[in-house]
Amino acid sequence: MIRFLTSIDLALKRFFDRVELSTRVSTRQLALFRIFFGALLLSYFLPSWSWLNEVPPGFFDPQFLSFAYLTDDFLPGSVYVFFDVVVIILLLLITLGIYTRSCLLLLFLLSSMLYSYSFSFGKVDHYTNLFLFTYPVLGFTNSGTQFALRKDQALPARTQTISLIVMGIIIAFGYFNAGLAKCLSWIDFDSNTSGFLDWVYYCFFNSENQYLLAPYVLKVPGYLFEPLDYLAALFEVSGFFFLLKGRKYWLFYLTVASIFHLTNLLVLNLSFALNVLCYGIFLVSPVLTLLYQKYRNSYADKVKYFIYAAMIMAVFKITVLLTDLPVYNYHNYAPFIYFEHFMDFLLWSFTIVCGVILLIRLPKIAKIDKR
Amino acid sequence: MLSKFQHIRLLIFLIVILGIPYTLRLIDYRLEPFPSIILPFGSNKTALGDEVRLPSNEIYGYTMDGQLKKLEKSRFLQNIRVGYFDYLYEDRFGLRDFNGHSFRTTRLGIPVKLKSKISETDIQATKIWIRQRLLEQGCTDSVLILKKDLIVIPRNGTYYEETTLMNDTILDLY
Repeated sequence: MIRFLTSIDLALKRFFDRVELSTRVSTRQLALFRIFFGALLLSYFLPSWSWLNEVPPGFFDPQFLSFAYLTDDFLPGSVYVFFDVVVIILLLLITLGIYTRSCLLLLFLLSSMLYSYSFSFGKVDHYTNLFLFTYPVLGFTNSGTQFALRKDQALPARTQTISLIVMGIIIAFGYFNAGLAKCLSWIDFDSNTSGFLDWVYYCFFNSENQYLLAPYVLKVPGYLFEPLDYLAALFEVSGFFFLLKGRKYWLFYLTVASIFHLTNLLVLNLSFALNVLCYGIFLVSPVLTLLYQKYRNSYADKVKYFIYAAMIMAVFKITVLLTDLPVYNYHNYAPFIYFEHFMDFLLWSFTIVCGVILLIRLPKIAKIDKR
Repeated sequence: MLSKFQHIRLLIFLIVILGIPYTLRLIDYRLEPFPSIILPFGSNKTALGDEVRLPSNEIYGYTMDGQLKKLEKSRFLQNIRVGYFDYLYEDRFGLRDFNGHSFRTTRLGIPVKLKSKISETDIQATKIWIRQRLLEQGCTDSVLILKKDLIVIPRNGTYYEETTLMNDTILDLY
């Protein structure tokens, strides 16, 4: 029995070792990314649940296997406002590097609980799914041990490695399960049907996503989209192949994934921009190291301004919450739709540029990490 | 002994966080746990012909002078995303008979019985909310009419809507 288990363990070791090569990120890169992650959430992606106060109780139709199903109604309004404030404080602490690990894990639990109420209208929205798991993944790395006001106790290097392996597998698996159903249905060699156009029509007419290039797509002859069905389905199922092939291939896949999201934003107005915070662990963090290396001499002078800015941002957000001012809430605040599209466009473009820089300068970055 | 097999343990962990939710999602979309690593399946197809005809859920009210008026979905839902409209429509905006809330899973046919989350007080509060939304769009607040219209998209892409008189559901708000 032990010999059998050992042989399975060895086979799995070979698999995970290959994933490890693709998902390697240094502690310094993770620490810099943690600041980027916290600052972006605090300033732009800040989640809020206080808008649920205005939803009528009859709309409450929670997902069966979610936290919200355990309760009989939406939570009292003051609970959402309280947790909105807590989340702002936790994100500020993550950005500044104070009790980083605890804050990340607490945010995962809180967000899992609170988002289940946001998705209590008969369906789960998938735009947060990959992003939510970035909290515990970062939590089980040493991202809070550098560039932090109160440094976390360091975890064993193996824990960080496993955490990053899990992140890589999560991304590849997420794409795989989305792509498998499309592969079975869309690859039909029949130009009289279109899966891509089904998305176009659904987004345009049902979700009223009618901005950017969306109106023009309706005028394009349907059969021209046939290759897109195959490309999208094959791209989505191929994540594991690139993950196992090596770091450069994995970075290439994530860069293509970012282009895929940017295209979806332009054509379907579906952004999934929260995934920038997920792919960014691999795509953005090494570029942040390059920038840090370039500006490290002036870094010390600027730290205090950054700390002040983050604190002012947090105080501003809390003030807005506790007054009658309209609360901006990413993905749920219609008046800012053009601003959101513009910001999401910038973020995906930035991630693509990071991917291209990485693919070109990967050896140099590896050298900097070794120092 | 177990501490030796760390890769097997990692695999078991991955099966728990990835495999089980995915299996549940495959059995029925209503069993998808949250949170989980599931991305949109969205594998439907549209048949392309001389024109594409799509059913569209719409809501109407009566204006003060008795004319039927189509309501703006985004204005009606306020800060709820329009993407949820069809699901709320199927739920009759919280005013439907909840006896039908049990289902059999699409694969394996497992019976699942869901608790009703809507009380009579909830229904009354929801009716008041809907009445206000009707008044905001210049309609009387007595009824909300649910219709299924048809969107027709010819090859040139200049779509238009056909109003059908079938499938009307009238929700009495008093």
